[in-house]
Amino acid sequence: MLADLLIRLRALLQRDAVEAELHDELRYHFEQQVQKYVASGLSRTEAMRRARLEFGAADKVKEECREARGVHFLEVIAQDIRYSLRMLAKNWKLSGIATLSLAVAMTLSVLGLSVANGVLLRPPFAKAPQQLVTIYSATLAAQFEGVSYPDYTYYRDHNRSFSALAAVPNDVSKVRLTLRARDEMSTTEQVSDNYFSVMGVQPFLGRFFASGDDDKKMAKVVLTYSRWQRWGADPKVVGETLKLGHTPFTIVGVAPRDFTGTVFGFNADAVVNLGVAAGSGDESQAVNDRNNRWLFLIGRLNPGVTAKLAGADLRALSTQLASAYPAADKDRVALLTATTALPPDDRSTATLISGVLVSVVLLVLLIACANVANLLLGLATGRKQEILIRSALGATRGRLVRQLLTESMILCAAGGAIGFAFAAAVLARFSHFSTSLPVFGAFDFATNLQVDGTVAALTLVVILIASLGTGLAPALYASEPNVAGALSGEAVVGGTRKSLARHLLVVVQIAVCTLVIAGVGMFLRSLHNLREVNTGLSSRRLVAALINFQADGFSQAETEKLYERLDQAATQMYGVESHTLALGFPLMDETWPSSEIAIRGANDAAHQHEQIPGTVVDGNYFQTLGIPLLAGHTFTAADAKDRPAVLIINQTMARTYWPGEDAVGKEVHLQDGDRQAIVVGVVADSKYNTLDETAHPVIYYALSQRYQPGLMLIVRTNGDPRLWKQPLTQMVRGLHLHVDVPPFTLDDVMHFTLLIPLLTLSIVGALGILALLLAIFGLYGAIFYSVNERRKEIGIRVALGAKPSHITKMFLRQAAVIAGLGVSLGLLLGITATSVFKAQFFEISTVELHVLIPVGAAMMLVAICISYLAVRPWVRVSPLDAVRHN
Amino acid sequence: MAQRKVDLPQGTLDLLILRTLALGPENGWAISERIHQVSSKVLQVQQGSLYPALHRLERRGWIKAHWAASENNRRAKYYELTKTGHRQLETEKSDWKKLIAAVAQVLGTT
Repeated sequence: MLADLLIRLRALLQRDAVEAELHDELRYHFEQQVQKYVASGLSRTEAMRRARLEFGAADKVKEECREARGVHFLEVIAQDIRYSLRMLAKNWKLSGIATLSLAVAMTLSVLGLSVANGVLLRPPFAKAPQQLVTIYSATLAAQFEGVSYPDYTYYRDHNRSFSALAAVPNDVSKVRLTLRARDEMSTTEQVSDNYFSVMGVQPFLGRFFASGDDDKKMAKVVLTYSRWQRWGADPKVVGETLKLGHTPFTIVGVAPRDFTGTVFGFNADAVVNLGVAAGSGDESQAVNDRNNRWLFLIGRLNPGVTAKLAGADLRALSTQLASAYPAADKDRVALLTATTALPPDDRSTATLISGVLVSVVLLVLLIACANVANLLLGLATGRKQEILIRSALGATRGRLVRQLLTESMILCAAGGAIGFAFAAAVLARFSHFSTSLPVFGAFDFATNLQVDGTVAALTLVVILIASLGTGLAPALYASEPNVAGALSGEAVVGGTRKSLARHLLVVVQIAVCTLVIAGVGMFLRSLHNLREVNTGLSSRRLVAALINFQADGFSQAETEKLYERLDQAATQMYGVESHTLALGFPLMDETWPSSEIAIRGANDAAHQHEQIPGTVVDGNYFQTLGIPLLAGHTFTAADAKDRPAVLIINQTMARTYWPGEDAVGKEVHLQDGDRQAIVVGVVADSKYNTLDETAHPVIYYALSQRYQPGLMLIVRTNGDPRLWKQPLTQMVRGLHLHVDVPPFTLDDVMHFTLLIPLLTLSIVGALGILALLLAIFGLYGAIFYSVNERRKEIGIRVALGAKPSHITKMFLRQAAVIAGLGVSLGLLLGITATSVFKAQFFEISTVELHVLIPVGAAMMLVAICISYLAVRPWVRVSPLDAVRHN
Repeated sequence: MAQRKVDLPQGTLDLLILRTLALGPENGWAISERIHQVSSKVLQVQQGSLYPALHRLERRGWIKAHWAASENNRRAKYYELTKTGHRQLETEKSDWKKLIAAVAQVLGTT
């Protein structure tokens, strides 16, 4: 094998030396033969004649030797590659555009495939992941729900299909971890005690949880590898005490490096078992509540048990649960699906997104291939004469096609390599990153996205298809045997029918590009509208600090004293105009908890069970945030705990339940606690959770009547609120309270609220730029080609007296028709898409002229400019050159 | 007058070359001469098939080549058997014997 390869390579690389050797060898043989005949008595001339006769055609022998050495095939390929590189270098402009076009498409396809693969298909970090299934519950009303802890234990203990069944909640919590002298806010996750054994994961150090830890409420914790590394990588850490908040836990082990947590995207620092959630009374109740479906289950199938059998087993158990606990489990069935990085409820969204992603990728790839085919066709037409001369000299059509395919193969390989490298760099950047969010603080993200073998293989296939797709049509076209016609130099006048298909392609590309750019415009406009929206808060200079009294170990009585001390301290702070203690901060994109109320004296029966979101504030809240008080008064010191409950409501609530009446003084029955409450004030509507929400009823409860274990201290400053972050932190720390999350301003929160729209905008914007690039390449290629094809006609026209400006105008008119068609089609598509996706935008009308007109004009302008660039080199040439070109 | 020449059956040329080279390194012309003489002038290997065969065997790694001075002090390409070549010779030899025996048996019975 090796000898074979070496000989082939030597034959290829040292061709001249090998040829010379072959010649010498045969020459030696010939001369020996001649000498032999001379020795036997023939004359030298006669001896040479006989030897030559015997020898036959030396070239034929040589060729047979070459073939025997196996050089032929490789040699031809090498020749093709050398020749192709020369041709591509000669037409570097077109080759460059084609390569870039493919690189763009390849980047997108690798990114799209990697994301789809990483999110949807890749199993979590586990041994033999194909044996794992994820179990969730569903009713007729809810398609994807979790499983409650009591139901989980029933499935776990009664199934016959799984060697073990683990449970994981799909959320993370931020807790301050304290080890030795270090403490840091960290991401903590929960797993059932058997999670690691179900996943077949071995600890890097120490042990994992033991069976039964969940119920025993064992305070054990496992550190992740990354956290352990950042805290000094001390192997003696196992057995030490780690504090989560104020609760001591024993470190039992360190997870292996590849385990980044159970919740997709988050890089966890510590993992505790489920039992620890049952710390305080409230939480213990939540764990045992059958209606609290906070868990997804992961089971490892017993050998020989199929997913179908396991499904039947689970259904039987669901029926038993449904009859035993009809209140919680009636009509509820447990379903199973393959275990992937994402939980099942997110997966349907992810499937949709990935489906869109993959189809966009395919579309882009198709367009890019069409572009390259167009460019190659342009190249091939220009070379038709050269190709025909080669075929007249004896090159077979197969050989010519192979030569042309080699060119497209090289283009695809170069484009593919660039695209692949770029995509890999982008993925590497986003596979692990941290960012700081207001309120939540720093988060470590581990998406674990990477270019893996599957994606690499798929890319290779795509490259192959692309090179065949782009190369074959031009190759067949150019190698069409029409020797006589081409050699005679016949001129194409006015284009051919084939150009119609090509122009259609460009029309579609421009339409798609216009659509995407219009989409970018819509997002921009929507963002602009969001920024301009009236929040209903007249104060902008707000800064807030989050304080968690309970986590700091204070009792209710102590906490209520601290409210007063915070109040005093804030009053004394320099530059503070007003301050308030409240449960929440506006626009944090978290839904406020709703509570059920009944409107006293309402005739409408529907008003007896109303779910209305509410928050808890003190009397200064409205003044501090600048929310106008429309009627009544705000909370006062008189609203003590033992006094009748008081409420402040917003204008929408007053209008909804007491239309045309004064809501102040009206009574409401609170289901929670079974109490009466009096409305003491009505305030103007404002934005509560998000900027794009519609007006809805809201209730404000008095802080003095509702104890809160955690609060926000919100301060209105008389200058740039960012300058108060530091003093605020110091002030709170002075009261021996922790500030786990840096204080944040209203602007921080607004920025955070707009993060998703901004992110969407940047993704759509990036797509828009790519689409524009592709459309430009496509248009350039098509115009370049059609001008190239008609260059003899141009020459004749110029010779007959047409000025270059006439010729330019002629082609620009043609380009304008193509671009105009594409742009109008794109705008129409844009209007259709807007009407479908209107809900995604904020205050966007179906025919949004603010967007459509500039986008249409810009696209036309770009199209004309590109066409001019493509036409210019051809009209500049002298008529004689044009006619005799090549 | 030369004796009637016998056409070499397919595949036997490789065997003959390997056998000849088993005696020691030799150049192309000498190989053909030796086969001619040893076969009592029955077998005549044509250059047209000898050299492609030599190159093919070299590619397969059964023989290797080097340039050296010949008896009359000229540069000639010498071929010699490799280890795999020796092994190949043994298998081909035994195959050949089996073939001959089989053919003889067939011929003898009819």
